[in-house]
Amino acid sequence: MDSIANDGEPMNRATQPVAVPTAEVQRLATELHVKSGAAQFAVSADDLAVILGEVAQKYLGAASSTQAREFCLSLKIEELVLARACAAGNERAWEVFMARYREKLYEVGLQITREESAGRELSDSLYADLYGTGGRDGVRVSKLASYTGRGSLEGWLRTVMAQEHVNRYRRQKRLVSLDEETEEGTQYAAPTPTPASTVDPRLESATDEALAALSSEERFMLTAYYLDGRTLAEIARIVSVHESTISRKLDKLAKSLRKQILAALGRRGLSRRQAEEAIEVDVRDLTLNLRDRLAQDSPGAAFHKKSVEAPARDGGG
Amino acid sequence: MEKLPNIVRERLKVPAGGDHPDADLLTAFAERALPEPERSRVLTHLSRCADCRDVVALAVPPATDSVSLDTAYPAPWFHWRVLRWGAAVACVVIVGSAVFLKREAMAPKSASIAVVREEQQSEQLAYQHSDRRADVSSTPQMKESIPSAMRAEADKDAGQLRDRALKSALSPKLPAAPQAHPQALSVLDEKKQVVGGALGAGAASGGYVAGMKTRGVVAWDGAPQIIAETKKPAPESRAATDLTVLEKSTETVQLESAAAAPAPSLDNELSADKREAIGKAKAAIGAMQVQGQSESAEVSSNQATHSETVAQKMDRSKLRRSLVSRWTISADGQLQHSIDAGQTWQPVTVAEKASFRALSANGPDIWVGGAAGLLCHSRDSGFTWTQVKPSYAGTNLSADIAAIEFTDILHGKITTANGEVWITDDAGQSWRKQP
Repeated sequence: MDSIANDGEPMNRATQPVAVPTAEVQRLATELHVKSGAAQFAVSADDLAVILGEVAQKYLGAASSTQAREFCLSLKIEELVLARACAAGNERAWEVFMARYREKLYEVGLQITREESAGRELSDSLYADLYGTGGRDGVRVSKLASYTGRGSLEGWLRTVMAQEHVNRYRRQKRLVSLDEETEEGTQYAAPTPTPASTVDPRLESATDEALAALSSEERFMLTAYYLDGRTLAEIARIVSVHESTISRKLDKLAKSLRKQILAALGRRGLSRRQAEEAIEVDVRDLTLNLRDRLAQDSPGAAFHKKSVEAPARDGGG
Repeated sequence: MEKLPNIVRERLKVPAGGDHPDADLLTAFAERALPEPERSRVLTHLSRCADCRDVVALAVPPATDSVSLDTAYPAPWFHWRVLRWGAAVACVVIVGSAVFLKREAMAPKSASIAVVREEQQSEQLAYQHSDRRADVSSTPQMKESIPSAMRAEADKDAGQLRDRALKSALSPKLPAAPQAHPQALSVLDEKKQVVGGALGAGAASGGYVAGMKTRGVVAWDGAPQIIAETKKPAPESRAATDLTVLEKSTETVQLESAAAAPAPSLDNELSADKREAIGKAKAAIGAMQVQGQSESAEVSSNQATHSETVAQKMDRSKLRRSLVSRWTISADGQLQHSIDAGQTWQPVTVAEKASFRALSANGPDIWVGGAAGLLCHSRDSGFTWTQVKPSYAGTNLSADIAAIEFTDILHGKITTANGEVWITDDAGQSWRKQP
């Protein structure tokens, strides 16, 4: 089912296994082939059906024809075709891609890194990944092949750049020299034996019980605000709720959590005064083995508030 | 913001299990393109994964449109913030309404006080003039010249006398006119007639005019003679409409004077002095009767009173305008008038795109002239305008009007830029061109 790209090279698909499209998907691909403009990128209707089947299989699994049709119609077909054609090396597709997204990549890089040199470097490295580095047997492997059209191609590029930026930050954080940490005041003490936990387990369970009752959105808002230090405006943009609503909800959540924990502690045999004292105790003052309760390092100050130096090209990507 | 207990912060850090959502899912989440079940799963992961939260925070496009949707947590309408602002708005509305109502209550009083003062002043001036006329017309030789003299005087003091006429009708209970010489009183009445005509169609109703006239004319048994003179053809009177009003009034007056007049035979047998004394007595009795009739007429016609009040208000405004108004033409040919003796000026639209260069104002009688023989006339201080097209012997006035001179409302002269002189003696009804 290979089709010929403009430059004569065989179209290279991603290395994922090719899903056999269902009849419904095949019919839909035929309908959308003209609308998607796939013909100009040497993508046939069959190729499009394969792409759609692959995406549907990834997210829907076993689904009815109606569900598959609705799902496929919700995809960004035109951008999906463009991305897959670029991944296949179609020159015409690359011309269109460069014209549309080259400058936007630089803009996004600057917005993410907040520094021109770092932003340009980030976007250039992503561009290289998108074009496809040399893979096995000279077959080009492009990151664009993983684009599935759930969101816009521009948004996907932004997310990929953000992921790369976060990864770089994490790596750099771990690779910070001891000399720098010493200069910053970090001290390295001998490891101490794990102390016995002094936190009342009833308090932990009462807190877990109260947190479990929260909705995913409520928990997200709490973590984004109290743990990540995000502003109300940033949280509002993410969850598509007005900023004032976020403020009211957070205030209400904090108060209700306190009440629920007190109530749960009361059910566990603590008096009112004991429960309030238990809540007010600062956990950070206690010697507590937090490693078991933390899956990853606390970010401390949000990484976007620290400047990330552009790594050497050899270590990048 | 309410402080979160530390234990809650710590428990929130418990990591999420499962795989991280791929870039497509995070993108779709950031763009609000995910169906609800998927969105909830992504949110659950985000609530437990700091890295993915960081990625999403960076991936969300910068705010270009403000997030105005408030679908998740709408504020209750009875929230204290809403009530607070509502109370503030209510207070502003109440205070504003009270101020507005107070102003409305005060406004009529001040306006009526100002009107009464103006009427009193103008009445005083009219009395002074009537005294002078009484002196002038005391001799029999002056009787014949009264009509023309009265016309001239009426033209000159039209505004002041009209004011007195209005006052007499508006406030019948005001102090009666002082006892003046019968001839002087007749002169005043004659002026009233002319002035009443000058008010035009927009003036008081015929009944009002008749009532006023009747009172004055019956007081002088020589009135029918004067009225007869005013029935002369148009050149010696004002416009045809004015004459119509006069004629109507005249007819009404003649009937009443005939009814009230004593038997001629009896008068002829009495001496002149006695006739004069009887005449005065008749005048007093007749005045009382007529006044009663006019008052009853006014009381019985409630709707007419309302319209009269409106008309009276209009006349009052016109009167005020004529008393204190000034007229001028701006540099660009715009007619302007001032109601505060020239302190401020307002433009007056006579005709669209009309430009004037000559002006003559005689109380409420305004003449303006411009290019190509454009000539406009107003008898009511500029409220309404009539374009006049002078012609003589088949020749129309078409030259640019350079100057307009009216010595009174009847007699005027127009000078054009090319030296032509046009003259009228009948307030513009007819013109002649000077050779």
